[in-house]
Formats: sequence, structure tokens, C-alpha cells
Amino acid sequence: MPLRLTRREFIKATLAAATATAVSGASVKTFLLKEKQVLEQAGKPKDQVRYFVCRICGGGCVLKGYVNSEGVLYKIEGDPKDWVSHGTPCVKGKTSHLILYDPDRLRKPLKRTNPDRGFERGPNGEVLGVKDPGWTEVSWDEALDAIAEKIVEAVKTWGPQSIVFIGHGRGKALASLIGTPNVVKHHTTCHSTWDVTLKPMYGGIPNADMANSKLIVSFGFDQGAGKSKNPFPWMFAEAKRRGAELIVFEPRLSETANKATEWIPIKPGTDLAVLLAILHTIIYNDMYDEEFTIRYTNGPILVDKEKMTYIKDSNGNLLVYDEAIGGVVPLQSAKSPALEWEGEIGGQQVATAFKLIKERVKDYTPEWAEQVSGVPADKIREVAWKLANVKPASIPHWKRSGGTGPNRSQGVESYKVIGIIMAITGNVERAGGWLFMRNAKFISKAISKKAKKSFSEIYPIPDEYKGKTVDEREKFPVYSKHAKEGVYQKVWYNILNDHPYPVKVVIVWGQGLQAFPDYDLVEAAIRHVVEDNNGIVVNVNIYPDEMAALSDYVLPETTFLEGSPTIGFSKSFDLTYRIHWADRIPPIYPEPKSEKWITRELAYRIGEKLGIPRETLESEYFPEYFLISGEEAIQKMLEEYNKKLGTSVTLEQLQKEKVITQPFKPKDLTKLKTPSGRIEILPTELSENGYDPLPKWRDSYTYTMLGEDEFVLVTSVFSMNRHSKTVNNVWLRKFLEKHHADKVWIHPARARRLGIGEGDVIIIESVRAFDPNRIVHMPKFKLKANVHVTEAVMPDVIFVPHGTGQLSKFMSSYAFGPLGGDSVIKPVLLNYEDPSASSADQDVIVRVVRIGG
Amino acid sequence: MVRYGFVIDLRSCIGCGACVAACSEENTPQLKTISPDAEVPLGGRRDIIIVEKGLFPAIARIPLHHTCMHCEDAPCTHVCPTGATFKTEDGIVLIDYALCIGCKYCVEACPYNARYVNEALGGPDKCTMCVHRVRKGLRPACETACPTGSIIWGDLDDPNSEASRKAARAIPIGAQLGTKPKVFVIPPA
Repeated sequence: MPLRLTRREFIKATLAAATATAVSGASVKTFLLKEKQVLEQAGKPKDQVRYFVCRICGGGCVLKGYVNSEGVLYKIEGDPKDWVSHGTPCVKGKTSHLILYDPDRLRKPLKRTNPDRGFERGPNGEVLGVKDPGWTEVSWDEALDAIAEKIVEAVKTWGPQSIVFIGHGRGKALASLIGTPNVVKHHTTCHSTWDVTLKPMYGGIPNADMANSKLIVSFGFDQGAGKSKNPFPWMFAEAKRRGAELIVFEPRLSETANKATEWIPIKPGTDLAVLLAILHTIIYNDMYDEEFTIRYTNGPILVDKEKMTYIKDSNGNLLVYDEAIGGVVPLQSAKSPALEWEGEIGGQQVATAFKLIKERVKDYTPEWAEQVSGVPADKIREVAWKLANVKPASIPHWKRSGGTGPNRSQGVESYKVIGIIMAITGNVERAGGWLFMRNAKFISKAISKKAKKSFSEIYPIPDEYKGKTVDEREKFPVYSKHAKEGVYQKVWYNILNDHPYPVKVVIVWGQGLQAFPDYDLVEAAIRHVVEDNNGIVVNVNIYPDEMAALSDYVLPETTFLEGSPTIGFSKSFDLTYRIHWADRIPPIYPEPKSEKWITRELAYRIGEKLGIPRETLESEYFPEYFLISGEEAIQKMLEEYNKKLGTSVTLEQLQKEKVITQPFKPKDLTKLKTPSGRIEILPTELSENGYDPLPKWRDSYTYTMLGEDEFVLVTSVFSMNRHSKTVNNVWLRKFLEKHHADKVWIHPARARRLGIGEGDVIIIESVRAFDPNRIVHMPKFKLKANVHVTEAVMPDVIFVPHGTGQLSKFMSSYAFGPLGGDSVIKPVLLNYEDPSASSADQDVIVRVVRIGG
Repeated sequence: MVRYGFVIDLRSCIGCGACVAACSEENTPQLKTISPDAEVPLGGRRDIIIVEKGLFPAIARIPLHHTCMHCEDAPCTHVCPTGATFKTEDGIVLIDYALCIGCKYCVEACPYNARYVNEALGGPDKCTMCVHRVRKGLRPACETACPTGSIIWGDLDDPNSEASRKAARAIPIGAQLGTKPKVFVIPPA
């Protein structure tokens, strides 16, 4: 169409428009009334309203969708009753209907015909794409039969442990039926650090009630404005409107730092030093809340000085030193327990937990921290003073935060310090401080995914492999107790090395390739499974993405917007135990199926091949999950909800009101799920398991020198992106482009010295990790990227956005962003002394070479 | 008198684009009733532009909101030869497509470059302040969609409205152009 219409053409078009309006019922007379005319032109679409639960992230926001007369879901809003979203889903949830109608979506099961699989590489060793798998469409029967055949072969010859499920726990019911312990989730790259610190310290996960905070101090936390689990953006915005002070320590001007009152650039990997100095300042200047510390923490409780475990009297009581009587008495009978006391009991050197913490942080002065981190000592004192005196104050944290998350070697230590600071400043379970999460995640447990009887009773795991997982999670007792998730970064490495046993079937379910570090390793491991072990790699997916293109079979799944009615709940930060009704819409294509359908169909086929009749399978083997659905399932979850919370919500009520929330009830801080029932600022669960319960700085976990062409890797996700789930969303890509999320960021001073200009093409390779003892495997592949030269990063740092850079040419998002993403150059890192098994994959130094303009 | 306008709070705006998406979703079905092929392209009626300003470490990435300012003295209304572009009593600048001849003078005249040519419609298009919602007692889609509550719409003449209270301490965008714009920004802190 020409840009400018001729008058004739325009009149034609206007007439067409006028006719269209007339058909929709407007009166010709109204043409004279201009505004009325405009309104009439606008027409009145007849929409149906449908409720959905957003599953882009774990927040589970209420999505209120509008379906037009053609049955198209074209617009999504929130529901004001929904506390989690505060009535407005984030841009990812809001535009999630684009996933539904994405022309790239998988419509049929696919089988690869090209045996040559892996990555295409350029002359410099950079990844350029995934080799064409030569897909052919196959029927569900053909695909499922072939997969079931391989699973049965694996079970019979090598044992059930040779089948591995990777993903967010998808396919768990099938795994339980087969009897494999290998259901591996991504937590060691995400939030294993809080599992081993906050859970032993607090018996749960408290987080910042930012909306009511007067002071928010963030160490790499970028959920506020960045990654955006939906409660965080509105809470942080509310805090800003109320005039709260927001201080952000971060090596890059993250989205949250961008909105901060003060951005304090900090040398990557040194947040812990600043945190320790803050703790030092608060304790040695007596700025802590003494009453709160004595009453609600294990600060006054006596522990063995050597082992740092509790000492108890003969009745098993915890002991304190009572200043009122000048002697050691059981905790419950003490009148005024001493916070700082040490002495000897029965030949044992004992001290209060607080005393031990005080001794531990003695040398961590602000001056010391300045040398390590580059943050001025006076600034550290100022922040410490504010944290102790501005009430309420909070330190927000969430999973992959830059300073505290598993992406840092010292993430565990940082979490310990944050846990202590929040407790001894009395900022726990009070508005504006830390509040325990109150989400209704527990209702999903109402329907068991555990098989009544497993196939492993017929074909058991060989004795030498019993108690061993493919990812070695059994080597991390505290982590495995609090999270049954596995050691993610190690999976492909162990599969490649047949350690502790060979693997024959890998099912990657709803997990993008970018979740895994080190692509040359992934490629080699997949080849090993198929070529050497005569196995199979299956991918269940929505898109024909890079992971799909590496697999043997790709099974199409429905999106979270499609399916039968269900109940929505939050898996993340919620204070209201919110549940809500979700109608959803019927699947828009016939072939993609739900998780339950796929796993159950596979289970029938495996059972058949093992000679178990269908009826026996259903009555004796199947987990409850396979057998109930729809209203029956919702009823069971509601029963669980009512039982736990003492409410009486009915199905009818849920259908009518759509969203149910509960009023806030304060929690008793002496009845927490910790060994002492109190907040354990010295987490004895760690010392009981042989770990150091107190925070400790290790010089070797940072870097000193950088070469001329070397940078420290920093990654993050933008608020408009949720990796593989949203990368093909064309609208979000437009927004990401505006934020330069398709480029890597370098400071102008460094760029100039390397002759790099805006938009230039560079090659990035990993050279070493901060902690050499962690290195399991260094990547051989390199990353090709375009550069954005910006003042918004520290000169030491290169920022590589996570979640862009799709490698599959079957996706419209192919090559949007650094090719393959940051994961191409992330090494496999693991330290067996780190209780969280964290991946520490940002503590990496990379080298940069310019290859073109 | 009622005088509608917007205040954009850049202290909390994260530039996510939810308002831009909402604008397109909300208004496309409206345009389709005029011309079945027409749609409001993403970033057509309202857009976000991210501007980096300053030097390390005193740097900010500022999200600018590019949309119609619903000027009180709107140049587009003056140049329109047919009177298709007009202002309602409560200050919303609109286009009556029954009168529009597609000459695009208004597109050229807008100092904010807030109008674009909608090819399927064969003429100019712009923000309507979601008048079809406003007249039903609803609020504009961009405001409703903002996850951080950074867009505040309301009657600037009503001293009790949030918009007027916030506008009192906000800056009208491009006031030097002299068109009396009715979109205000609260600068990022």
C-alpha cells in the first residue's frame, strides 16, 4: 500500500469504513455529532471474559482475558482483588496471549532424521546456530511407542536410574512410576543458597515487605524493576512513592539500581565484604535491637565453642546464662538471658551464639571492606547506621540476585549475613521489614504424584547404584533436605562421563537450553547418550527451539492458557494465601497435549511393554495425579486449603468470587520450624552437618588482576523477558531492544582501548573462574555478540543479558541477542564444601576480541 | 470544568512496555470496526524510548513516554482543513474519520511527532485517551495496565484528583513549545 493515498483512494477507504460502521449499527444522523461519531466508530466488541493463571513465572497472577466473537483471546488484564499482581500483570503475562497464536508453535510431534546433531560454529569457534535436525512430523502413537520402547529397554537392561528427567519437576509422576531418583531441577543455578541458609535460620523464606519499608538496601537484587516477579515491582514503586530510600549495590546499573536513590557500584563478588562490615559496625557500635535479639533469636543460647552446636541439659533443654541469678539455666526458665557470655560447663568451652558471631566479625571493619570492595568505609558506616536506625528497613532478596544468589561463590555467606542483620535489627515479621511468605503452594500436594507402586519393584536399581543420583545431590545433605532438586550444573557432565552410572534416556521437559551452562558439554553429553549408549533424548516443548533441535523426539505441549478449569496459586511472594479460579480456554490446536496426558499415555505404553494390564496399572501402580482431574481435583485442593488455614471455601464460592485471599495473621517468632523454634542467627543445622554456621570471607573467591582484554561476567534478566518462555514474543522483543537487551554492555573507557564501538561484533570466551577449585569444566565454545557501549556498567564488567540469543532457525527470535546467550561461556563450577552446591557462574573472567564493525 | 490529562511518574516507571502493549490491544478492536484490516501497531499511539543520560556512576536510563499531549492549544486542530481533528469539551483531542480526508497536515503539524499514518486506515491516527472507555466510566488502558502505577490519568481541574495533585509538582512535557500540553512528568529521583 502506498504511504500516501490519493484523494480518490481515500474516499473509497472512508466509504468502506463508513459502511462498516453502518453495519455495526450506527445511525447516519450521528455523523454530525463529532464525539458521538468517534465513539460510534469505535463500536462495541462483544467479549467473553475468561480467567487464567499466569505461569510465566511462579507468581501465578490472575489473568483476566477477553475473548472476542471469533474466539480469539486478544487482551489480558489483571484483577484488582489479586494481591500478588495488585490488579496489573507484568508485561510478560499481559502479552502472553501472543504465545498462544505464535506461528512458530509446535503443532505435531517431531522426529529428527539428521543423525548429525549439535551446533554450527564460525571460524573463531563461536556458536552460530543449531544444526538442522531434518524434522519429520510423526503421529503421537509413533513417537510415544518409540520413547516407551527405549524406556523399557533402559529399565530392563540398565535399571530405572538410567532414565533422567530434567526440567521444573515436570514428568515427576512418571519418574516415580518408573522408580528413577533422577528428577533434576535448576535450583543450584537459582536459589539453592537460600535453601541452606534461610531455611535453617528462619525455618522458611521471609522476604522484604518493600511497600511499607522506609529503607531498602539491595545487594544485587534486581526483581524490583528488573526480572520482576510481579509483587516486587509494585511494592518497590509504592515504596518510592512513599519516599523510601533505596540503596543498591550492583556492578551494573540494573533496572532496580536505575530507580534507586543511590546506586553504589561494587566490585563483582565482594558484596559479602560490605555485608560483613555492616554487621561489624552494627554489633561493635551496639546498634542492634537487644530486646528482639534476646527474645526471638538464638543469640543468647549457649553453644559449644568448638563444634558450634547446642549444649543441652539432661532433659534436653537448651541453656542460657541468666544474668538475674548469675548462672546457667534452661532457656524457658531464664529471666534475663545474657547475650554475651562465655564460660565452661562440664569441661566444655561454651559461649552464646551472639558472642561467637561478634568474635567472628571482629576483623571485618569498614576499612578492610573498602580495600576489598572499593566501597568507601564511610559509605559502609552510613548504610550500617541507616539499617540499624531507620525502621522499618528491609534487604530484599530473591534467588538469582547478583550479590547473594548461587551465581556467586560466596552467596551462602552473604545470605547468612543478611539473615543476621535483619534479625538483630528487629526487622522480622513487621510491616516494612521481612515477612514470611504466605502462599498457597501447599495445595498442590493434595494430589499425590507419587506412584502407589513402582516398576522398580520388578526391575530394581542395581545395588551398587542405590542411593546415588546422576547429579550427586546426596553429597549436599542440608540442601537435599530442604530442596529435592538436584545439582543442576553437574547433570550433563556426569551423563557424559557415565558417572555414577550410564544414562540411556534423557527427557528435557519445559526447560530451555540456556538454563544449562557450557554448550560444548551439553552437545557432547547428548551425543554420548545417543551414539555410545544407544539411548534417546526427548524434549517436551511449546516451541521448535534450540533444545528441541538437539533432541531425537519433540513432543508438543499445550500452553498454560489452554486446558480444563483449574485453580491458581502463587509459588512465590504472597502474603494473602491467595487462590483463584482459572477457566482457561480449550486447546487451540488438536495435537499439543497436556503434561498429564503425555505422561499417562507413556505410562500405559511402558506398562503394556512390561506386561502389566491396564486395569492393574490403574488400580495398583498409578499415582493419584494420573487418575483425578477437573472439579474433583479442585475439590481436593480446596479441602487441603481449608484444613491448613481453618477456612471453609467452597467450589461455588471460588467460581463466583474468582479470587480468594486471607487476612494477614502475625506469626509467633518463637515457634518457627528451626531446631530452637527461634530465628537461628547461628544456624545449628549447618554445624550439625559439619558446615561452618558463621559467615566467613575467603580472599580466594574474588579476583585481583584483569588483563587489558579481560572482563568479569555479569548477567541478568530484563523485566520483559523470561528466557525460553517469552523470547519468541515479538512485542517483548521490541521492548527488549529499546533497553539494549540484545547486546552486551561495555564501559566506554574499556571499549575505546580495545577499539570497540557501538554495535561492533565481538567474540567472548571464558578464561578462568574466581575460585579455581570449583572448575569442573571450562567451555570451549565462544560467544558472538554485538556491543552496546554504555556508562551504565563498571569498567571491570561485561554485561551479557540472559535469555536472548535463540539458536534455532525455526524460531522468529533466532539470533536476537548474543548468539546462544551467556550460557555458552558459563563454565561448570561446583565446590563440594559449599553446602548449597551453587553454580557460582558469574564469578568468571572472560576475554573479548573485536572481529568486525 | 473537566480537563483530562496524564501524569507520568518516572520515579517508578521501569520502561517495561506494558502500557504500549495495552494501548495496542485495547484500541485495535476499536479501529477494526472502522476498517477491518486496521490495527494500532505496537508503539503507534504510544511508545517508550529509553534514553541514557549522564556519566558513570551518575548515570540514569530514563524511559520517555512518547504519546499525544492533548494540548490545550493543539496545532493539529488548527491545520485540519475539514475540522476532523477537534477537541472535546473536556480536552481530549480526537479525529472524526467521517470528516478526515487523509491530507496528513496534522501529522506534520504536531511538534511532538505524536501522530502516525495508519496505512490500513488511510489516514492519521493518534491516542484517543481511550475515550470509549472514559465515557463508560473506565480509565485509559495504559493507566490500567501499568504494573508499577506510574501512569496517573485524571481531571487536572479537580483539586481532589490524584492527577491534579501530582501535576502540581510535575513538569509539562515540552512546555516551551507553547501548546499547553496536558501530559506531565515527575522526574526520576
